[in-house]
Amino acid sequence: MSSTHAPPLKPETRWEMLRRVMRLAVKELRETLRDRRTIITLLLMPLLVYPLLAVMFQRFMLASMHLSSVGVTYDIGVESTHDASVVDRFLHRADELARPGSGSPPRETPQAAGDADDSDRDGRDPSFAVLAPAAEFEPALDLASGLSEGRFDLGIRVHHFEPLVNAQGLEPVADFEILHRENSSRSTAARDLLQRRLQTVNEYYFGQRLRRLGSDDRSAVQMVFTPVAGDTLDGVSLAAIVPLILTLMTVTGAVYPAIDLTAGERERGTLEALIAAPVPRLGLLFAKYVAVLCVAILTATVNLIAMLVTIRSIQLGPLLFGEQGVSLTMMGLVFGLTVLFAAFFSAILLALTSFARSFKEAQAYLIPVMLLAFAPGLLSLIPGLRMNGLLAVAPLMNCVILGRDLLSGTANPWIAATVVTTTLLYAVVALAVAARIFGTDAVLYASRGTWSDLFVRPVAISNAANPTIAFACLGIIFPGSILLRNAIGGLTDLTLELRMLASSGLSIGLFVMVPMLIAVWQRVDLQRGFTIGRPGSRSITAAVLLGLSLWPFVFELVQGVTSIDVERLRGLGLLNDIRQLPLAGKLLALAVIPAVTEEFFFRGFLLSALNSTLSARRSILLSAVVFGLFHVIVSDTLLIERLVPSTLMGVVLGWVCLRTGSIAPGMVLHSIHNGVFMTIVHFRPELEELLPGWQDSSHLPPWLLILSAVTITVACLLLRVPATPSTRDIANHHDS
Amino acid sequence: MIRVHELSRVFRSGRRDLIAVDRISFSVSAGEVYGLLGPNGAGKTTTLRMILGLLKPTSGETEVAGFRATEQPNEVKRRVGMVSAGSGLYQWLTPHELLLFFGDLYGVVPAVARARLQELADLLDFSSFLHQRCSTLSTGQKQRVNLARALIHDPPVMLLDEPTSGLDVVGSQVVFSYVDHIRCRGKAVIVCTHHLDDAQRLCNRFGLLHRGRLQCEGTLSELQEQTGRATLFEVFSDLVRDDTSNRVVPS
Repeated sequence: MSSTHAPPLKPETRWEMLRRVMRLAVKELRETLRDRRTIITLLLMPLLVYPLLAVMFQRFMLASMHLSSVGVTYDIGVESTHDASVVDRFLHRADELARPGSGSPPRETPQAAGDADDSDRDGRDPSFAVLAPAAEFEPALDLASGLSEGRFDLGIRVHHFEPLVNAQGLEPVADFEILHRENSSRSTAARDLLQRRLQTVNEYYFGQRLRRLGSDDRSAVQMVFTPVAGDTLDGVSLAAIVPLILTLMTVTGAVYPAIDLTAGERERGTLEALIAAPVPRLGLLFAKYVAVLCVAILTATVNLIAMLVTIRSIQLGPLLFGEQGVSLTMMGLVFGLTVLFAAFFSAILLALTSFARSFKEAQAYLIPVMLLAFAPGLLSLIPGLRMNGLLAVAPLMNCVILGRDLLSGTANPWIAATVVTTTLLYAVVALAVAARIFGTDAVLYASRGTWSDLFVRPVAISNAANPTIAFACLGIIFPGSILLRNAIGGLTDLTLELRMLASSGLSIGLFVMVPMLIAVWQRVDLQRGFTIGRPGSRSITAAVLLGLSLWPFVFELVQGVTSIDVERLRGLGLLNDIRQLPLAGKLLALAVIPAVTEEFFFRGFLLSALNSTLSARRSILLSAVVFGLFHVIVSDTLLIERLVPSTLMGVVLGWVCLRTGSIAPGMVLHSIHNGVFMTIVHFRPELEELLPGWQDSSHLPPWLLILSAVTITVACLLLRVPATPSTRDIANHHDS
Repeated sequence: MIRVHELSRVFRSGRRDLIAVDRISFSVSAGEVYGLLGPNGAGKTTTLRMILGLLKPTSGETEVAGFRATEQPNEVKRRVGMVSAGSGLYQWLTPHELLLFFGDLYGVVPAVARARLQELADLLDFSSFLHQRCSTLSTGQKQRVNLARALIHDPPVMLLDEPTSGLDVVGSQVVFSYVDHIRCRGKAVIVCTHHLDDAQRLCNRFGLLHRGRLQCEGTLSELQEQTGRATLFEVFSDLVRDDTSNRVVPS
């Protein structure tokens, strides 16, 4: 079709577009804040909920205090007044013996240490009340029916009783049949208590007899129990309740605007007019995201203030946060964490509600998600649960546990950094998903199944994956790698060779197969999308030189050979057995295969995807940071010291890749680099003989560093000289 | 100004494909009001959405002022104002806020947008409720605001989908005046409607769409010549009666 193009109305700069998106966000926020439903969740709920919770909590505490001040009294039913007097007599005797200075033998059971003492927490002894017929002539109590009906907690039948203290001055004796109610914790507790009390009488009786006979009355094992303060809570951590409630209330605040600004707009017929405007869909979605995030943060702020005021007014601080209380800094950090969580959950909510065509449909999606979100939040209340590398990447749980640790003053800054980074990564992935759905004709006009839109294949073949797709791929690889490596580590029945094979298979599956499948699905040209080009001999030479010469600087940075994946080997359960393997096997499985597969994903797939929209410098930096972070999080621990060297390696490898137009030199460089460390570790004893004390030295000899620096310079010069045309150059040439 | 070439759109419905628009072609010049007529489900709205770039065509292409909707959707959107029957308004904003907001979305300088807003308020007679929340407006008042929204960026192309739907006589009269106004301003206009009287009053040329296919096209006199019928209503009745082909084909 021939056409005459009208001149563009007015070219718009990126800055102008951003300003317009921000004005759009302000409009969305203004409209949301005018809605009375927002005001209800934003202001009224916190203002009503917290005082109400406080009143309930206070009443609960008062009731508990009242109960503990009264103490527990167990009722014992007996058949006659005679039996009542017998039982009373023995119980009275037990009380006398338990009293200090009564002359009773020292109690050597754990109860004596007070851990499972008869006394309650305030030191008040539970007691027994004996219930008997009012008078001799009344019929005997039916113990079985009385117990089953719950009229008393225990029943005692007295079968035999010798009332008089005999000639040797010994205690009276009796035969009791003790009845208790099955499946009743109260009756069982009463039975155990009675048994302990009567045991005291029995012990005294036996001691008395042994002493009369002139025997030693000592026990076989003398025990003393000494309590030691621990740093883990056995009960539910009350400090975790604060971030949990805050996160849940933040979610509550974000839910309504998220639905209203997406599904609600579609239902009211305003979405079409919005999509018809010349603003990119991502811009529209981002404006809505900012609005939802602002409402969520406002909700969090109001909730935090309401909660603090409530805690202070009813003096719950010491109970929740211990005697040290809570400082403003702590609350500031918790607030920051809530903002982070709001950023994450707002993105999740928008991704979900963007699918929905109506308010009701959106609610149907969100209710199960909110329930699902509640579950890991509750898990974080598990007593003694400690933050580790795995939990630091678990959505929601990581925020709640970090909040608990911040409040209890035990947070680790590196773990906190990991939580922040991973949560932001999840938010970006959720927003990317939302951007692919929001305002599509499928949602706008319900023309087809909306969920399938996520998996729609592009019509045209592209030279590189979309950065969104590359990050979604990272979203699969990142947790998948941690979980599967942990699983391999647990397979202790497998031989060393099989575990190494599984580890190599995992690397190939995650770093090669997953991106390949995604690339094929997204119609990405595999050769260009993974930067698979034939490198020149000069590039390979430079890569070899860099591979041989970079390690001394890495060694200096981390001050040791930790860069050879010691923790990863430990995670795979290989650390102790690794010396049995021949060097060639180690080099292949632990140096070459990880290097080749990682280059395939990080430089091949991710870097080329980033470079399709970002400048070379930004692409290299971003992919290097991701590469560095990937090497920091290892199963249940964090190798923070690896962040800087791994990121710098990522920069070098990214530069080499873009410079040579191929991932092959990077694969060679990375493999040799890993191999050098592996070889050093393998020959550690021999090296120790040659260079005594080198392992203890934190620095390498200067001549080695100078030699390495010269080699690196030569390699860089080789790479800077124009080489043979790369695949990308050829591709660009063809495209032009 | 508007060119539609061999445009088709197929919707998948279960295991069947429903052809909503079937290889239609037509063009609309500046200053012309083109009536895209047809019964419900004829494919009129789908055609408008594809012209604006809200729906991707299964095949064929559309151009607005030389820009293809599939290639430069934002350039197309900047040149088009659309009013559809189902368009809603932001209930918590006033018409004043809403129109300035849409002016901003289309990159109109605020001072220009304010002047244009006043001009439109006079033209469509909604100055009296300019600062009233949209949720409190009547159907006719809302439609006036919608018509103003579509013109706030002064686009060269207007797409009106059932603009008189649900309006009373007075409301419809406002729409007629509006179309006359934009015709005089030299805009290319497509009006979709199944109200043939309205169409006859508003449009210069007509395209009769039935079951996704453009059955005939031309001015009223050309249509009368082609069909031998006196009125648009008679032409349309014959068309609907004659065409009984099944447009649903297996996937």
